[in-house]
Amino acid sequence: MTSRSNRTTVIIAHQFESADQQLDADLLGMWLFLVTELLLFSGAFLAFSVYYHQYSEAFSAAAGELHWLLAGFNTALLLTSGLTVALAEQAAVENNRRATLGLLALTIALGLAFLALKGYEYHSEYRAGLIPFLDQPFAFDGPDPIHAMLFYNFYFTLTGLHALHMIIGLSAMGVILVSGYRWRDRHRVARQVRIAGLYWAFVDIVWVLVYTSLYLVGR
Amino acid sequence: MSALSRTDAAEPASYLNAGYGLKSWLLTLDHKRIAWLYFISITGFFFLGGAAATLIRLELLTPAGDLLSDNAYNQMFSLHGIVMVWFFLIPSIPTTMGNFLLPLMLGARDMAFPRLNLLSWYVFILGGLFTLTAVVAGGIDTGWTFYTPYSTMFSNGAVLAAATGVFIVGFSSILTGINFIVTTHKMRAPGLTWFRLPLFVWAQYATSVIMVLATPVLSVTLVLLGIERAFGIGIFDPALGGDPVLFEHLFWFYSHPAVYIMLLPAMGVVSECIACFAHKRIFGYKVMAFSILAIALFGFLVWGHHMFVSGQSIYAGVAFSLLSFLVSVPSALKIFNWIATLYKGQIRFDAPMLFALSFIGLFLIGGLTGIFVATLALDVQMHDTYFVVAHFHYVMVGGMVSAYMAGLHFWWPKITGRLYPEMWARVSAIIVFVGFNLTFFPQYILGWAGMPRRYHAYADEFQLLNVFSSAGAGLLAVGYLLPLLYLIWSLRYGARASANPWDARGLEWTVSSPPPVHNFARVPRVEHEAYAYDQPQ
Amino acid sequence: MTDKPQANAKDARVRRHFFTLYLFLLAALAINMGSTLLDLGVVAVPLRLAMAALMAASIALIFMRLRDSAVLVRLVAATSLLWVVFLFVLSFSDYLTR
Repeated sequence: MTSRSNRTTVIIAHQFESADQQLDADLLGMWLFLVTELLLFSGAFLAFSVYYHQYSEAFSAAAGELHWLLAGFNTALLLTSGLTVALAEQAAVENNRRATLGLLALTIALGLAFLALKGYEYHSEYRAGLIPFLDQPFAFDGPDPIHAMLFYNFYFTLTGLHALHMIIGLSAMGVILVSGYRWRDRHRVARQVRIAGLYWAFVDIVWVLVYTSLYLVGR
Repeated sequence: MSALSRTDAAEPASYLNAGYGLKSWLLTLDHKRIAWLYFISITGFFFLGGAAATLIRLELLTPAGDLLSDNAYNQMFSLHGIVMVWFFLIPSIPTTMGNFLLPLMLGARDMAFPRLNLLSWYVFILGGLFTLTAVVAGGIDTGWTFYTPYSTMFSNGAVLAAATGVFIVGFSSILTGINFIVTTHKMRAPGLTWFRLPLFVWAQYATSVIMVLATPVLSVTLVLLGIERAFGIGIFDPALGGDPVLFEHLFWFYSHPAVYIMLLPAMGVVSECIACFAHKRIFGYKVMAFSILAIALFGFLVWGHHMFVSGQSIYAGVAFSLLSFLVSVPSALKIFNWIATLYKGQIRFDAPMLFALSFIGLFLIGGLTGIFVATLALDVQMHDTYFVVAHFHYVMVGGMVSAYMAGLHFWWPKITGRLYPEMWARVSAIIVFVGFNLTFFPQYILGWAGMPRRYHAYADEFQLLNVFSSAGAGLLAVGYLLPLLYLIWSLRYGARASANPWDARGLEWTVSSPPPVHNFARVPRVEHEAYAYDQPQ
Repeated sequence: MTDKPQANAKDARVRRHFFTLYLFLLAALAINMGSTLLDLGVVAVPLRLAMAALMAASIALIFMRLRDSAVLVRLVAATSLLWVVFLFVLSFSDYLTR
């Protein structure tokens, strides 16, 4: 056996027989949770697709007003953070404290940069009068503004829901960064980074789908 | 050790006397105590929903709307539906008996995620209080379905708060579902293969799969509804080209499978009771297990049968109607197998058996009339009449609640370490059966004759059957109040139960009643299937 | 002792896969964004969606290590996709035949 399976420092919960059983259970639980997340987004995507199918012209015109280049850059940022968190996971498995913590911090920084740019995007849409609530008149001047408004409702709902998931993921990684700083139980840290990494990769996947269907499909 | 020294010799150490303070209950991670937390909360919700039902039946004694105003009546059936569906029926068997028994039946010391288990109860209570406050103080009148555009644009009640509460409760379901699935996969004792599991475990497993796959779609639907109502922006609003039928699609994608969240655990309980009180191996074990999974699967493919008159395409309607008939195949298989299990068994008519047998009869009637309403052409006549009301009450109350009572009595000695008074329990089972049929059978006839649901007043010619129905509801109330009294009584005065008072099979009967804190002193090694009634325990 | 360098070789391979995937994702994103500058007619929408699906699937397989996961976990992932298909196909069975 390699030094990696040395279990002297492993603390397992009372209901489990072994650390492997615990990790297996945690991973399965996390995947099941991601299944629920996928179905949650699917419901919103279904509604969007039904309306896109019915009002594709208006939706395309409305999609044309979005900052697709800026959001494309943001997509690249998020994909990079997907890489860094995957590397952090690997570093934790290899018991490399510095690399794990550094890569986690980098992931968080990239995530925050994404949110900042997204905030800027929302702000400029607000200035352009494209936010159909907050008691502001809807200033879209393309054809069929009524159905364009429906598009923007979905745009804000889907991107907002995604941003909320990012905030949850960032908080989780922040907690791991603080609690794992002392590197007391490396198996525990590795397990936590693995779980958080799964969540973050899922957030990546959702954004790829959101970006493609909202910004690119109708363009 | 200190907990041990506090107990006297007559009362061996168990999960019940491991600690006495409020904190030892509210912060417990023991699945058996969490089951109690759920027992107490859902019993409260059950009697609240029952009180609303009583007022509804009192109003319907006479054709004129004299007891409740039309508005108050709408609020009353909404209260009844919301509380009963989301706060009693959905959590009922999984969170109570499921929580208590799953680790015991698997030979495990606890659930895979005990903290998550406790969290799910707190989430449940939070959602429950939220919804309850909204429904009672805010006057929800949308029915339990929150159909748009009424719920988003016209209703004056606190729809947003109620929907938020139901959204929160959804998380409780999801957490429970994840916990059960992981526990079943990862915590089985050595030798406990899938085909040695009790059918109760199969049922809990399939139910959990439905919870995990269906609940998030309800969550997002409620989020969309909430956004529409809170910000006044159109999602389902026809004025913006939105489609209220889309809300119905999303809603029923959850809410039809939700019927099986209620029903499958009931089928699991009934299988355990029938095998035990016929003292026989369950007939066709694998067919029973696979038909549970089949019902869970088919349940997802039929939701459009709630929408035959909604403006849904006629072709989709035909497809949903045909798919709906599929569900009847595994359901019928189960009924045949229960009957075959009874054949040549050494049948004992203890109270759990009486409740289980009423489940079979009532579920059969509810299921067969389900085929009526799943038939596209016939449903156009039946839709929104009391026929539908009678149909789903036969399945949910006649079926599900009977099974809940069966399970509660069957495992009561295990859970509490006390026997309930058998005579009173049999009386209660018979009163419930008679009262139930008297309440709901007339509603089939009323619906067939064309009496619409959800009105506080009705035409004079329907009165006689409505009086029968209300009288039955009174009987039903007695039938449900009796167990509340004698079960509480038995906690203190009931005779002490042995480890296996029914001579049943299964791992849960090998530990003492009530079980010790960590269930098994040693992890058991399983060598038989769960229904080895041909072998001594 | 002989195990350790082997494990390192495996770690290096995993890391190399991550970087390869990352480059692929950036390229796929660039292709998808670039495609909006061309007039592709009816194939535009299916093409972009297929590209997005490919990106999503490769993130799941490599970053989320689905490729190396237990059969059960892969089954869970596959089931979730099947249920998304149920949701879309049955809902669109209504909207496409109205």
